[in-house]
Amino acid sequence: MEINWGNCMDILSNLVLVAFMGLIAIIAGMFEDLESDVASTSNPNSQVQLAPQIGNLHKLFNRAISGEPLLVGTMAAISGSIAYVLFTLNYPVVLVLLISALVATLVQTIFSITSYMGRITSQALYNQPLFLDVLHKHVPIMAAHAFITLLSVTTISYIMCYLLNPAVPLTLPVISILMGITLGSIGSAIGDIHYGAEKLYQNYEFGSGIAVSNNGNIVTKSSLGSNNSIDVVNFCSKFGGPITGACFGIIIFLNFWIYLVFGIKYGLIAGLIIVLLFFVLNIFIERKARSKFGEYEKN
Amino acid sequence: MWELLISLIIGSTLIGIGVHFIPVGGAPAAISTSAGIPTGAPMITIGMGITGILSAATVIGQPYYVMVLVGAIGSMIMMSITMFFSNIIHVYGVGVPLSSSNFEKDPITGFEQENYVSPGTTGHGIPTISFISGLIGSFLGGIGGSIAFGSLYSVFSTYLEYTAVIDGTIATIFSLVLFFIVAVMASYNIGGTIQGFLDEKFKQKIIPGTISCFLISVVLSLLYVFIIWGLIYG
Repeated sequence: MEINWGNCMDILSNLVLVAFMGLIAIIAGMFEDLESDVASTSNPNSQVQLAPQIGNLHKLFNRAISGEPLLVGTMAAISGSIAYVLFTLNYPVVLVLLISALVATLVQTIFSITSYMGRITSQALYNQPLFLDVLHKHVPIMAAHAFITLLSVTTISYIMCYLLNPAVPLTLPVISILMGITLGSIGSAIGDIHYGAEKLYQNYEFGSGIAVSNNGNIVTKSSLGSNNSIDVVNFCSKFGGPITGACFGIIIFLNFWIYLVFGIKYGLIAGLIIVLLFFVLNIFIERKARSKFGEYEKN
Repeated sequence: MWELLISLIIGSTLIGIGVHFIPVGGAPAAISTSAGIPTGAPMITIGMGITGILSAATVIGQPYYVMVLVGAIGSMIMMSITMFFSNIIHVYGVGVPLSSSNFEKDPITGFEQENYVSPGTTGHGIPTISFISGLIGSFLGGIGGSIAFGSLYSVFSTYLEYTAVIDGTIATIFSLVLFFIVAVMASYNIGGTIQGFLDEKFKQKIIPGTISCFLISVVLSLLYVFIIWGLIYG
């Protein structure tokens, strides 16, 4: 039997690239979620916004430029477009990825600053002050997380667009938009629960659920001084962020891996089996949670 | 062009119906006050649809039905993993059992719901029946998205003399916009939270939702066909 070595090497290099993409996707997911926690972007921000209205003045960062998927998608599009232009000018790859992520981060930083100032000043009616130290301390950390996220998203798009064989037949900016929007929607659907339901409401007993009547009554005091969003990111980096990263990494990895290994026909069957596997795992988790936590105690 | 018109109408109506199946909790679910996926309906639907379109784009050149199926499986994988990890955070990070007060008993697992819902809330996480509903929704949405993408791509590759990359890019942008408009339309109809096909709200909303999604699909598809007609013959 004759072995087609060229074909084998293609499959092998594709497998290595897909594994690498999964790895970068884990980093992207983790940092995207932590960025949304430190800058308080997504759905839980409704509570930060509500707090001053019921008398809870706070020192949390408060920013909501838009929905998380659209924000990350737009920034990834900026980064991808700049990278595309620089690639056509034949700049070195690493430099291009770094510069494009840096420029997009700058845009996001400007948006964050204006958004924070606008949001807080609109709450002057409820005596919420605008703290400049909150701005000084949070913006560099937000920018650092955003930079890693955008660098990772652009790198994944670069691999999909130029290195995979056969490559995804789309242009780099479009792939970055797609990746950014997917990443944002995953970050907003997973990691934010840990921030919104646990970190913001640590003054309530673990597992008691957040009743509607408690909305806005968030934690404003920390063990030392005021509670700020850097405490939040420290807390969420222990569970919410890594889980988001794992989710995004697994999605990116599996979506390519099944067709590489099993071919298209069997890949479809493998995909269906994976979906069923997660369904069964979900039933296990539901059963375990019920037996562990028990019914709500009426008292 | 008639084929394109019909496939766009079918595709976007399927997307619209699919959005109704997805258990969405919105901002209250992000603080564990309501059951469902803790983000807005358009946001999660667009994320899911895009994964499907990207999967379909990776098998460009294969037969049409293969592209559609690959897109559907891509969306289903994204949705199942997202819902699973969302539940993991609910159980291990927030410490609440998965339950919803929108129905009394889960017909698949037989779990009673009411005693596990904390007072003042309408549930937490995504119970099994809502999970199944989410899978159905992602299947329909994925099929709809990849039908739209596939038909647009085949028209571009037949009539326009560009490279495959440019055809794929234009088709992606067109189907992305279709997804945005239909998903926002459907989520306006849902209006807040919905917990899948067992929810009373679903039974009230699905018929007007389907009709309105069909109507907006007709308008959008006509607009698309005019634009593409101009692109080819203009």
